[in-house]
Amino acid sequence: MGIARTMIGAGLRVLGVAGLATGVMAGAANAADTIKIGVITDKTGNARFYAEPVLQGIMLATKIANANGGVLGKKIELLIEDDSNKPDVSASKAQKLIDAGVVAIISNSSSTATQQAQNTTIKTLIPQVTHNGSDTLTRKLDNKCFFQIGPLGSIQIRTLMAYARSKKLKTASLVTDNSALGQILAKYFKIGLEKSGVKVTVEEVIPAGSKSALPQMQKVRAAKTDAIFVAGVLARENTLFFRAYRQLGLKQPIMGSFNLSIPTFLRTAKGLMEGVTFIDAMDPAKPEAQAFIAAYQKEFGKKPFSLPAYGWDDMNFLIQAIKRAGSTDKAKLCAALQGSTGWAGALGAKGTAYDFSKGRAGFNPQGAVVRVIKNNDHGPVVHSGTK
Amino acid sequence: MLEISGLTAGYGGVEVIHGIDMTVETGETVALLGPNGAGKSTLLAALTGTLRRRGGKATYDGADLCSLDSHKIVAAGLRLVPEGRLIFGPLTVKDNLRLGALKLPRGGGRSVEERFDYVYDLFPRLKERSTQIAGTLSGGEQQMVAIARALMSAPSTLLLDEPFLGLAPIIVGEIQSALGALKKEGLTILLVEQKLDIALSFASRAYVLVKGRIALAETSEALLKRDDLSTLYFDLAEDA
Amino acid sequence: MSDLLELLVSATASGCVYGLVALAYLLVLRPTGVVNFASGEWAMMGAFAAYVLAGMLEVPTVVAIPGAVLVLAVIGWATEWFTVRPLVERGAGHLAPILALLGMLVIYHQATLLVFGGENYPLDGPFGFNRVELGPFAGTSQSFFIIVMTAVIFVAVWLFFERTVWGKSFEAVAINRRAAALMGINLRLVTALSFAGGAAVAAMAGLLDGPRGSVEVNAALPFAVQGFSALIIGGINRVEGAILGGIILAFAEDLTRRYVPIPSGLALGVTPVLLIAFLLVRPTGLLRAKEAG
Ligand SMILES: Nc1ncnc2c1ncn2[C@@H]1O[C@H](COP(=O)(O)OP(=O)(O)O)[C@@H](O)[C@H]1O
Ligand SMILES: [Mg+2]
Repeated sequence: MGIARTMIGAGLRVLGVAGLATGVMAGAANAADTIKIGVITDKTGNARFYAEPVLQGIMLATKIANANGGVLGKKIELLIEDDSNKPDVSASKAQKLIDAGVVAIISNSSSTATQQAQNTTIKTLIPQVTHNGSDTLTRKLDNKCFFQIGPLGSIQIRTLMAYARSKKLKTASLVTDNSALGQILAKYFKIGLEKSGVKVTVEEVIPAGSKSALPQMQKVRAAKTDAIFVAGVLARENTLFFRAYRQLGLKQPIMGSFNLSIPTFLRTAKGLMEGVTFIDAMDPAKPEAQAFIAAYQKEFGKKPFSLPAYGWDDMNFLIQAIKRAGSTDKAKLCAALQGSTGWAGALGAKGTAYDFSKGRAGFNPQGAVVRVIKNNDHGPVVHSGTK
Repeated sequence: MLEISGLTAGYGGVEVIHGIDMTVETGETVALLGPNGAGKSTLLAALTGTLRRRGGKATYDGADLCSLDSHKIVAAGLRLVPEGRLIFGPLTVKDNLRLGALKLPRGGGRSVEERFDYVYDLFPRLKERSTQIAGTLSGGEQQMVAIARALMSAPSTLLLDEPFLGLAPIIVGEIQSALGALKKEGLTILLVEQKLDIALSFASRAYVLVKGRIALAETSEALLKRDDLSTLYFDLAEDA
Repeated sequence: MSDLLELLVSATASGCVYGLVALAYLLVLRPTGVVNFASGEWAMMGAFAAYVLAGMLEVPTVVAIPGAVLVLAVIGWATEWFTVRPLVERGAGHLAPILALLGMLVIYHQATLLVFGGENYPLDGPFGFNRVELGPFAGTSQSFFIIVMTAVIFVAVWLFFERTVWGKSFEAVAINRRAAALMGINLRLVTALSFAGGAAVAAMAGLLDGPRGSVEVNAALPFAVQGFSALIIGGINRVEGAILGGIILAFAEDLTRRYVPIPSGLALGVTPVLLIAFLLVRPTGLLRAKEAG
């Protein structure tokens, strides 16, 4: 990466965000005339690398809505609060936003922080939207005004397993790292694989801070399984995995979690990931995704990965419901959100749409996709759905 | 010339020596006497920059010792052979000596090799043991290493802190004769000693330090004539 | 068998990285008696310095490597000057500099996080990762590069301490600070140079390891732990101990992960077990100090 390009890139990014900020704040001149929407995001904690690109999508959707005349004749005003991915802070920020008169809250933080914020939003039944995919978020509390955008973790796993079945795998190796999330994902992968009749014959862990993954990958090579599943979430250790895979001349298909959709890998494991398949929620062939991609490209001068699309859907989900409710009254808005059926966002496989009439996690279970890395980029969808 | 006036020094909050006045002329051999704990070693540490809490005035050939770091004092030609020898036990005799020559002034026809020859000449035993680990030498040999090491930088003044402490009489004799040779060469020497007989036979003048103050300054000759020599420290301590 | 030979090269390279961090500890520890846990941060920062030079400014590797090492040497020097020296000169206790350096560890960590975030950055090795075969041994060119560079550094450091009078002066300071001062050794200079040298060597560890996985702030703690473990295994008395400890640690880890039939999650326990064993059985490490008395 050249300095010139990097610097210009950084400059564009800064300008872009600044431009977005002015677009978002344009309506703030007369606060009474705006629709206030709260965002709880992680700007300083360990979830910020996911949260920051998502926030971009939220701001972009807001800017475009405001440029098109706003909603119900009013501009949208974003009130953004940082919770550092700390649950108690998240809850108190939710209260702060409610006190400031927001009509809804978007949670852009970890599942634990989002769960804790629900304890506040449930008291006033203020609509709360998140794209966090944790399955338990709608289970622990009967919060009628809490909604989830995007594929749940269980759908992601089922989609990957359906893909595995389509490949008629008999055996698989499972490689992860020693992070909490990596361990949990590996557990779900294993359960899913065994349910699908795929025998997991090797399970390897690449501990954080390892200098090489060669010993583990030699064991994987010796086991000669039909495929290798990667459940690790640590970028450095996953890079060691890909490097050892190449060094040892392995040829089996690699199937990975949603985590591999993070663009970091295209840089740290550059050229090592050709043919790797991974779970994603965005299908670049879907018209609504293309609309988002075009808007993003116009704003930032580069192609987006899927993360900003989550924020884009968060915001557009709220906007379409406010329009249908014809009001920002929280009860009416809540009902409109519940009644969102057939609304298609940027996320989801081509031809799928959200449906919140049957549950508060409205992502179409057939909407998650498996994509393949091609030319060191996120390539086309090779599989979608859980069947 | 070493000139000290009103020098104070101590550790932490405690002052140990209180306003010392003292002079050692170039080429002179002077003894600093005094009972255990009087502050002799403290005075030498203050002069050589390893004790930083000090006040008053001390100059060496005009250079202000109180403002110089220890390595600059060595470079100025004032060197201490410390109490307890402090040789580098894990290193060889040769390495110990080589480290002594770090501040050997460049030029003047002196080289490290010449200094090696010089100290080996003075202490032939060390030549035999040059590759031996210094920590394995006998106490007397270690003292020789300590003195030879100080001589490696061709100092103009040598401060010796109780060099004979705990040594067998034969070795004491050997070291005494080496010091005698140095004296004859005109090296300025300040010898710190508790035993009056050894000190007075070597030095031309003596200071007696008691409880951090100079209690007496006399020529060796005059001191030797006193008949209360055996109880001198005791009497002086009574007075102090 | 070819698996083993392939593993040896990679494990040796990992051991070299551990050994370099151990050497960074050692260089500071010997003359000052200070265990500097910020060594891991130095390694991480060295990798970042190399990334800035090679990855962002596109400086050629032959310049970027010494450049990054120099940057860290300056940081090490400044660390001594601003945090350790004032404490020592005010006569603070032995624990004070160790605590001050732990404080610096936090500052280094947060400062790097502030500038670079928690992202992972790619660092290219000068020779890439092509397969290189050397007789029966096979490994990546980066592994061989790590091994060669580490060997050069250790030989140079060893020669410095064993064969030069300046090296002996550092040793003298380590043995007895007061006696060293009486030799005319400038204690401040030796201390400052030890910190600069420690940081420079740590930087080498970081920038040699960087191309394998990527450069990230989180790499600092593993560096600190692995280097410290290698130091304890090899012993704190001699330069050779650092590399020996590093290689033993890496082999124990990699061979356990490869050949011991326990779940690979449990193989994580190798390092702490080895560390505890050495602390209990041979707290002075494998290599003794050279002297008898
Ligand atoms: N490092 C030190 N810290 C505190 N007090 C000391 C230290 N060294 C010596 N002293 C004290 O200073 C006084 C003088 O000691 P010293 O100079 O060694 O006496 P001398 O050399 O005349 O026997 C003694 O009371 C001794 O206990
Ligand atoms: Mg004394």
